[in-house]
Amino acid sequence: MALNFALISFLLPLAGSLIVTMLAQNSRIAGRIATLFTGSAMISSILLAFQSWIIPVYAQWPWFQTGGSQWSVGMLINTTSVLMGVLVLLISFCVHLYSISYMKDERMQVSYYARLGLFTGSMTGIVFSSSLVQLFLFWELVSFSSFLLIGYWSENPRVVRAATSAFFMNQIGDLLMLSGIVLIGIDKGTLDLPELGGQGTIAVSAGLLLLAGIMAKSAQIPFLTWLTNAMEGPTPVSALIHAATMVAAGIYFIIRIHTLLPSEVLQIAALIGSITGLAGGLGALASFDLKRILAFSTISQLGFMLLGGTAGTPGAAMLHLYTHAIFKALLFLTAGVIIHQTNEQDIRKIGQIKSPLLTIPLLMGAASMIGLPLTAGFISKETIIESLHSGWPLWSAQAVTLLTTVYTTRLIYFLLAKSSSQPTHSGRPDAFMMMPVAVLAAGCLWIIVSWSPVDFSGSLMRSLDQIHNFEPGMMTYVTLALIISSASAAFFWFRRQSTVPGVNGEEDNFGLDVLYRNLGSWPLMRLSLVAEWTDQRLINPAIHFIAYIQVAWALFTGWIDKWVVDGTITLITEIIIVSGDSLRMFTRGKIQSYILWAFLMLVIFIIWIIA
Amino acid sequence: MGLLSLLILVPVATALVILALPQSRPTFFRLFSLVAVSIQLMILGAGWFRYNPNQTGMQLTEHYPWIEVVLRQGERVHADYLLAVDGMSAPLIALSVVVMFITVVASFKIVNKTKSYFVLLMLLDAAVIGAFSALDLLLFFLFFEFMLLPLYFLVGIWGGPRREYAAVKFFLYTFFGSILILIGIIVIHISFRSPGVADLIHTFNILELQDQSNIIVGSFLDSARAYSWGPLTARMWVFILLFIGFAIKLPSVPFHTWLPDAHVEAPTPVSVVLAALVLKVGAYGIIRFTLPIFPGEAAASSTVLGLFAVISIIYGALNAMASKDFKRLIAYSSVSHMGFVLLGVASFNETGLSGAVFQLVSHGILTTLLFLLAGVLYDRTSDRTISNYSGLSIKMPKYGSIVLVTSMASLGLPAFSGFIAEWLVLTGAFDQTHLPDYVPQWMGFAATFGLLLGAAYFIWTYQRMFLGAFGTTLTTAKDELTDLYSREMVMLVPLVVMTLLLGIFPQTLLQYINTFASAWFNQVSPYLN
Repeated sequence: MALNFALISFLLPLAGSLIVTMLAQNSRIAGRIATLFTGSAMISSILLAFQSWIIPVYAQWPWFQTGGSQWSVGMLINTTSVLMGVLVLLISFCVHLYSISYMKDERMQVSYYARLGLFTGSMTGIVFSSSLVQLFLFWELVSFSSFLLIGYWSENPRVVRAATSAFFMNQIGDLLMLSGIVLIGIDKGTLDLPELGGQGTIAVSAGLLLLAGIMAKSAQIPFLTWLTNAMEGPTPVSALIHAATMVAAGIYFIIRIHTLLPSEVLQIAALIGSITGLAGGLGALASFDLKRILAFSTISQLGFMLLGGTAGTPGAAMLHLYTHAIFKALLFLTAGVIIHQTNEQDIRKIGQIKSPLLTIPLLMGAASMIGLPLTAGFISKETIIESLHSGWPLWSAQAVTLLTTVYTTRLIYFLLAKSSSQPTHSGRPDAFMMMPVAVLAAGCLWIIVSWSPVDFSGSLMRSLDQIHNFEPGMMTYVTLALIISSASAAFFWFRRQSTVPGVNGEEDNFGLDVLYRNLGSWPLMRLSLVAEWTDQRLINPAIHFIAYIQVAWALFTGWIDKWVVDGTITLITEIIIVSGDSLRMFTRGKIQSYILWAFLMLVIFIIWIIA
Repeated sequence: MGLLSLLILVPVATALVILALPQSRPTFFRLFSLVAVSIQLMILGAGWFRYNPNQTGMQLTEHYPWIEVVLRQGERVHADYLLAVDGMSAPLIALSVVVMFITVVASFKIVNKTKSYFVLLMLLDAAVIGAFSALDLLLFFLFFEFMLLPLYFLVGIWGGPRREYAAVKFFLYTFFGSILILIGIIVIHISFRSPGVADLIHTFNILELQDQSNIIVGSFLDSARAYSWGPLTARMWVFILLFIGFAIKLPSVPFHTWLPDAHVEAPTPVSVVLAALVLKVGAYGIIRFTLPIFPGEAAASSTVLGLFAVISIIYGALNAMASKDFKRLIAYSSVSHMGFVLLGVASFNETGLSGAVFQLVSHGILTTLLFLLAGVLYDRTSDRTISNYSGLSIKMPKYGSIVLVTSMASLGLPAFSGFIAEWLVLTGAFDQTHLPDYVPQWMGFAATFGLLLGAAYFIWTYQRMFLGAFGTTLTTAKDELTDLYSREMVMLVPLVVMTLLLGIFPQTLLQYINTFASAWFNQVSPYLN
């Protein structure tokens, strides 16, 4: 039964995508059909959650086999994957609903919903995959559908560049991960997660290769630029893929294979997570573009999760993944409404937002992101911090928390509180857009995690890995004090600023894009030109040279044939002809010459006789 | 008459019938060819029912004595008409039949000298299938050589602007390879004898040649005698001759430069046959004869084979990236993808070999798609320069989607056949169980880097040609750029479905390959070390 629910929630979005492509000629219907399919998938995943919240289900089927090795596909349903599945489908459903209104004037809606369905199905595929090769399959399909969705407005060159660079960067990580998976398969003889779990940790090299894939997918340093550039895509897509689900896949994956990774890999991952957390926070603090701020914030939060999942407890990271997905999707969808109404993304130009329909969700999302009490974000963030015990992971987590507080305060202050010269906005968004926003705003409350707002081991999350070990402690109060003091300090500091503080250069990620172009694409292009030159100027001429030698040899033998072999023959014939000609002179039938020759012979004869 | 003979005879008979028809009825030539390939499809279906994928060894065998020359008392030269298929040749023959069907449909666009075109195409059809089904070395060589002749004319007469150069280059290059192979065949022939008979019978039978105990004591190839010419043994020399001969056909860098010229200049259907089928004969030759006859030599040089493979993968990909012509890009991508075949073979294990054979079929489908897609554009504008187009997917959405899907399948996106092949080849290459470090680990990583390059050039080309605002620098072409016609859809969509099905249900093909791969491996494994 549980299996069927899982299969249904995986197949329905894909089926919806196919049906939309085949049947829906009418754009208006396309959105509704796709939403229906995703909604049903969501319901199925919720039913699945009731079925197998506590009792894991595992099933596998052979996929292909050769040379004694066999690779299988399957479903590994446990608390983590059920939670992730519900999350993915819930947010996807919200985004579908939201898109009906947000995208209603677009020309190619059919392909938009087809792409969205493909993405949702592939993402659900990652969630339930039970073997690494199957996971890789969906992992790549997610990259591909993300490419399609970022590049939806394909006529805009910036969009196109963003889409292809996102795909390519993901491909770098994916291929490193592929070789890692292959090495694990050879080493362990299996790629099924339950079986691998019983075989101890994997080799460090393979673990690092897997980590590379995780880093690319979750936009960790140095891969982070693709995510901020991906903000060129439609905003609902940013909310679904580049905040809540696809980028979280890396974190989800590391949580799932946590026990397989050797401690060296976990330490490196924690280090990368904390650096990314800080870098993303600084990026968010420096940017002006509303969506880019949110994107940098996502990068920072993902780094935080990676840190928490590797240096702390995977369960805590999963919890934060869950709450982050909801509040970040909320922030993106609200930002989408603002952008939709004002046609402006720069927080310096948007002006003050007054409508409570927008301010309340923004405040809810921000509160959850900062981690104020009574929010879901509070519980998950404090759980991560509690699980970090001590040492540099704890301090870098605190630093990320500080940065998060400051940039969130900046964003909220300049959007809501700062009265500006720009006109204020109070337009009413329609129901399709507000429904998901309302649902997600409600999801920022503590209640989605636990019955009590201060109980980390809350009833809902009890079965998440190792969470029940944690409760509010000393560090919680320290962090809370840090958050509140830095938020108020930031608030008062921003109030004294006449303009929005920040740093220019967000369009090319503060120089990183140029750096990568010079280090990556440019050498590759040079190398390809060298290869072309080798082909055209070395190998081909060498072939031609051989051909010319043959031709020259042929000409030489031809010359020999003509002048030496033929020449000898010709010489002999010439000699014969000349001698024949000269002999013929004696017999030309001229009586005078006969007399002459007879007379000469006579003379010679007489001289001979006399001599 | 057996199914395989029938498969070869149908196109030959069709060629004869077309020859007898009057020049003025081009529709008849098309129709007859279409009928011929349809009959072949039906024969294929019949063969599919009769063939048992789980049975090791040759099936659908047809065996008749062909040539017998008595050299002296008790010593004879013997050649057979021996056709049979196993788990490698059966999928390749199926691929040939399908690709030839699509080629004939694609050839409907050919308008001048249709009669001779279809005659040559039918002869080519017969030669390709003959080469894949012949198990007598002499018979194989006959078919192998016979492919050259129609191809030379098909490229040289119906090709693009530089067709004569390309045709001559192709012919001389591959003919040179054939000579090396011929020398090898002669040495092999005089060194082997048929088992179980008192008389000394020099055999061409490949099944007998694959058994090292059939080597005549004291002959060139007798490893106990270690006959050497210069620095290498005679066995090694002959192995090198055969390898280079087939590597030209494969093609492996640095023996590849005939390929871009021939593929670019050939008309679309002929490019398809060249890339999808003719290249496969090179790989087939390596897997079928070269390695089983010289297992020790091949294993000893597997590092070198791997090096050839990796260089082909990366060098081909880099050249594809630098190509300005869409079709040239596809041609170089073939060089890169065939490198994976060689890598799978060089890794000397069942997984790698299965991957190599899977890649043969997968690449056959994908390259057919790619060349047909390049042909679609060329049919409309007579121009394939990548930089002359942008935003094509706006004007030609169906075309754009199929190009995107095909590019993704070619760069190895999972759920398409290419991924399974790459997966198996990489698993084979990274697996050090049988021959530790003969194919060192860095080669696996280098091949992975080649995959990244593949992603780069496919996605970059798609970006330049199909994304962005619609535009073309060709002044007259704007209105010519119409979306796919139904005839084109009929050719393209089944191929897309095929690569998708093989990617999702790879076992349908692997069940054929597996029996072959394990038999092959059992044969060569005693000689590894």
